[in-house]
Amino acid sequence: MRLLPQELAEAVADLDAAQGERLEEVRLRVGRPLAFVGATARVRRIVKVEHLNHVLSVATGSSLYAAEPELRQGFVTLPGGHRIGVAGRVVLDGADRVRTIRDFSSVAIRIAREVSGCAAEVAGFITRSGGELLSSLLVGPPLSGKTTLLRDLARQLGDGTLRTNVAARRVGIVDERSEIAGSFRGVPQFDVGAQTDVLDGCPKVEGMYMMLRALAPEVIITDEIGTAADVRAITDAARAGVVLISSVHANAIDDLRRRPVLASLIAARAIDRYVFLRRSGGRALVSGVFDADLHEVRQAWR
Amino acid sequence: MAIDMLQVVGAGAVMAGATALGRQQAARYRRRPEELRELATVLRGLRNDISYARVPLGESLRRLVPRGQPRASPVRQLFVDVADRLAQPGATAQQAFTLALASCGPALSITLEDCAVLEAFSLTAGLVGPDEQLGQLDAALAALTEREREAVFNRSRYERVIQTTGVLIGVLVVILLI
Repeated sequence: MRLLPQELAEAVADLDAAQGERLEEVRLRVGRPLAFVGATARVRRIVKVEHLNHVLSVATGSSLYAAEPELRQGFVTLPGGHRIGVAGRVVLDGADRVRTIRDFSSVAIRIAREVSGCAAEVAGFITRSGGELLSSLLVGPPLSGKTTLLRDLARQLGDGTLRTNVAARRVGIVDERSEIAGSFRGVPQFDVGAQTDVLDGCPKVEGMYMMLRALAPEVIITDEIGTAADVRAITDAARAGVVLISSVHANAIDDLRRRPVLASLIAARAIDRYVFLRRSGGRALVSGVFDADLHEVRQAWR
Repeated sequence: MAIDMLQVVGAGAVMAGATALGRQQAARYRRRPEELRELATVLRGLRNDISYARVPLGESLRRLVPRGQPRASPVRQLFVDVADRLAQPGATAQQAFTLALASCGPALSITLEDCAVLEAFSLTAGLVGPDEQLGQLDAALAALTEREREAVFNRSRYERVIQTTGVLIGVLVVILLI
C-alpha cells in the first residue's frame, strides 16, 4: 500500500492473504495504534502526526489545496474509488460554514470493493413480475453494504442485467460524496453500467433536479438521504415518473417512523420498497422488506 | 638560470588551470542571479496556478516546465526532476524536492542557503490549504527576491575579482615553482 509511510506499510503487508481480502478500512489516529476494520489482526505501531501528513500528501499528489472542496465534506477521493475520511480541526468561514479541515488527528482509509452481482439479493424485491422497477430505499447501519449494493444496482440497471424481464434503463447517479461511482477527477472508477451518467461531487438536491432537467433519467440513484430538501426532491422526482433508489442510515422500521424527515418521506409515499440490510460474513444480506404502507413483503418475485 | 621546455609547459598548464578555476568560480557568481530569477519565475507560475485554478503541484510543474526541452537550464531540469519524482507512487513533495536538489544541485550555481528557501517551501508544499500555500509561496518568493538582490551585488563586486584572482594565483604558483 503506497499511501502509507514505510513503517506502517510493513504492518499492513504482514497481514495474511485472507485478512487482506477482508480488510475494509485502515484507521490512523494520532497517538494510537494503527487499526484495521474488517481484518482482526492487531498491530502495535503508534501513529504519529507525520504519518497522517504523509498519507494526505500522497493521497492529494502533494496538493491538499486542490482537494479543499472534498475536504469540506470530510474526505478525499483516490483513484480506484477508494477514499480517505479525515478528522481534525474544522475551520469555519464567516457564515459558520465548514471552510476546510486542518491539524489532522484521524484518517480512515476506506478500501472500496466492487461486489459484482450482489444486487441479485434485492432484485426480486424491487421489481414486479412484469419487469416494473420500484422506487426503493436501502436501510441499514454504517458498513452494512448499502453503497456497494447501490453501485451494483446502477451497473445492472444500466447494463440491463438485473433480471431477464427488466430492460436496460437510463440511470443517473447523483454522487455527492463520490462514493457510489468512486469518481476520480470526474471519471467513474467503478463499472456503473453502460447507460449510466454520473454527477460527481454534486449536492443531492441540486443534482436530482439537474438530472431531471438535462439527462432524462429513468432511474436516479443517490446515497444517504437525510434532509427535508432531499425528501422534497425525491417526491418531485417520483411525480416526474422517475424511479428513485437511495439509502439511509437506520437499524429498524421504527427508526424511520421516529425521524421526522423520513416520516414525511413515508407519508409522501414516494418510496415503494424499504429494504433493510444487515452485514453477515462480509456481505450485505436482506433482513426485511417493507412496502409503501410499511407492511412486510415476504415474497420476492423469482 | 635556464628555463627548460618542461618548465614552460608546466607553467602554461598551471596558468591555464588556475585561470579556468577562476573563470568557473566567477561564472557561478554570474549565473546565480539568473538562476534565482528563474526559480522565482517558476514559483510565480505555481502561485498563479494555485491561486486561480487550484492546479495540483505535479500537473502545474509539468505545464510550467515541460520535459524534453533541449538545452534546458539547470533550474528547469531541477523542476522537471521534481515533477518526475512527484509522479512516482507514494511520493511526497518534500521527498521530491530533497532528492531533486541532491541530484541536480551540483549543476546549479545557487548556494546552499538559496536551496534552503526551496527546502523550506517543500516542507509545507501540498500539506496546507490554498491560502496558507499561497502565503508560503509569497514567503519563498520574497526570500528569493532578497537573495537575488544580494547575488546581483556579489556579482558586480566579486565576479571580476575572482576571475583575476585565478590568474594571479596561477602566476604566483608559477613564480614559486620556477
